[in-house]
Amino acid sequence: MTTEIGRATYAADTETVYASFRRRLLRNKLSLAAFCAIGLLVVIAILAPLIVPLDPNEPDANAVLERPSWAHMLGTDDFGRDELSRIIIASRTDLLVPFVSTLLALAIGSLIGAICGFRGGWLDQIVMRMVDAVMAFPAFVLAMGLTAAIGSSITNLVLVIAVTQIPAYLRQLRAEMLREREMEYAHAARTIGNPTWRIVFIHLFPNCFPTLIVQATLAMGFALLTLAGLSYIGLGIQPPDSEWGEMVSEGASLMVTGYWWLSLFPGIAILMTVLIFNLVGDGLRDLLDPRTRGR
Amino acid sequence: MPSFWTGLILIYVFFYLFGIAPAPLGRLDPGISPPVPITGLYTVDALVSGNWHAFESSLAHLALPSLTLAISVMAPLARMVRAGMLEILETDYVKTAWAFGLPRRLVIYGDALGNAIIPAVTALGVVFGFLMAGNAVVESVFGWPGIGNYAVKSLTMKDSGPIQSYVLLVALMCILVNLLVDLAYSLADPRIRIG
Repeated sequence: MTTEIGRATYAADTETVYASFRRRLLRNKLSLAAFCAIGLLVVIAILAPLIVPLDPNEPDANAVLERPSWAHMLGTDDFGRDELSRIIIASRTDLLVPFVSTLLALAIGSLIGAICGFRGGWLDQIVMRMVDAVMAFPAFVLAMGLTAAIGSSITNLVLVIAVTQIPAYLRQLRAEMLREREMEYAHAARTIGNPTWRIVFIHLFPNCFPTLIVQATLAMGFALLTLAGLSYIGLGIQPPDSEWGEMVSEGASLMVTGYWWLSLFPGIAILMTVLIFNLVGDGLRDLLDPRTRGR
Repeated sequence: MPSFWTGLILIYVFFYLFGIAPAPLGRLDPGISPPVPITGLYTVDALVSGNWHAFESSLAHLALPSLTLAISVMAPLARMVRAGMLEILETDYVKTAWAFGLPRRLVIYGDALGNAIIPAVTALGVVFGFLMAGNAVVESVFGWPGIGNYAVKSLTMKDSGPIQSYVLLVALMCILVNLLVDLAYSLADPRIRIG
């Protein structure tokens, strides 16, 4: 009897991490759908030039401001450019900029956060006060000011959006480090003579990683909103390059006169993408959270 | 949800389709002269000076922009209160309240909501920052001559002075609001003492 129970527990314990992942992922249909959707989005973005029905920057004087039809599925804008093609091409920028900036912020933020959290002391104090200063500005307003100052190339937009995100990762990783470094295994790692950098990055960092990755996915939604907002007020991607926020802005003045499709569809694209990022973030949280693991 | 987009959709639906909202061109209908400036708030001024026309018009012009901004922050707040509520409903004191046979309305809105709302109060500081940012965009969508619109216009004209002061002013206001939120804490949660 006891052996059987023992064996059962043993079997549950040895279920590989991936098997456990797969099982829980398949159970939550909504996150699964979101994961698929994000995959689809990435594929669309990569294959964009191949799958656009018409040239996104080709004006067509014969088809100006046409309603959605079979020839132009989402209508055309005031230059006669095909909306659907423009939205598809724009998905490249709209995924790339949030992705790269989030990655950059994640790397810088977690590196500094890890060092601050582990070392503490005066360095920590100085960095945290600087972070407080950055956090005093609302993210979007800070992004506005920075882009206005350094100009709005794609590289600059990535940098600006990254800067607005860094404090979040930095604080989070610092808090995690403060907790992890007092753990038994951290002391054990020190006792057997690991150098500090090894303890921090090989032993402690992987344990902070799950929360970071969740934070990053959720932050990508925000990054996209920031990018779209900046482009909307004319600071982000400049025409004729297409970007969803910029497309909404182009359609804005025509909206009040009844040309609804110009702003509606890029807006829906933003909305859906942010929603997908959020769902993936929630899904990842459920997957990676140790409290729900094994359920 | 991007607030500039929500604003546009609201304009399209309520102004263009239904025609119940006024044109998104500022704070008053063009035909109405602004009320005597007392506080600078059109609604209050119109009310004080008994100018009903101006009052109605300014209220109508307020409706869509405020709705837009409200929608943009509604979702995160709702989520937060929901999460808080789920937690609170499991606590002992709520169970006790049920056990006493208190009516559902009283348990949920009286006992539970008061505590579930605390995280949302914390978030108000962040929400305010979010609103200030959204405000810049919403003002330019609705053609309000506000500070956000001013900043956006300076941005397009590459005029750095107004932008610097705008960014600093907003940051200052956010810090003040956060301070107020922290102080308001003690009202929402009697366990917290400020001292």
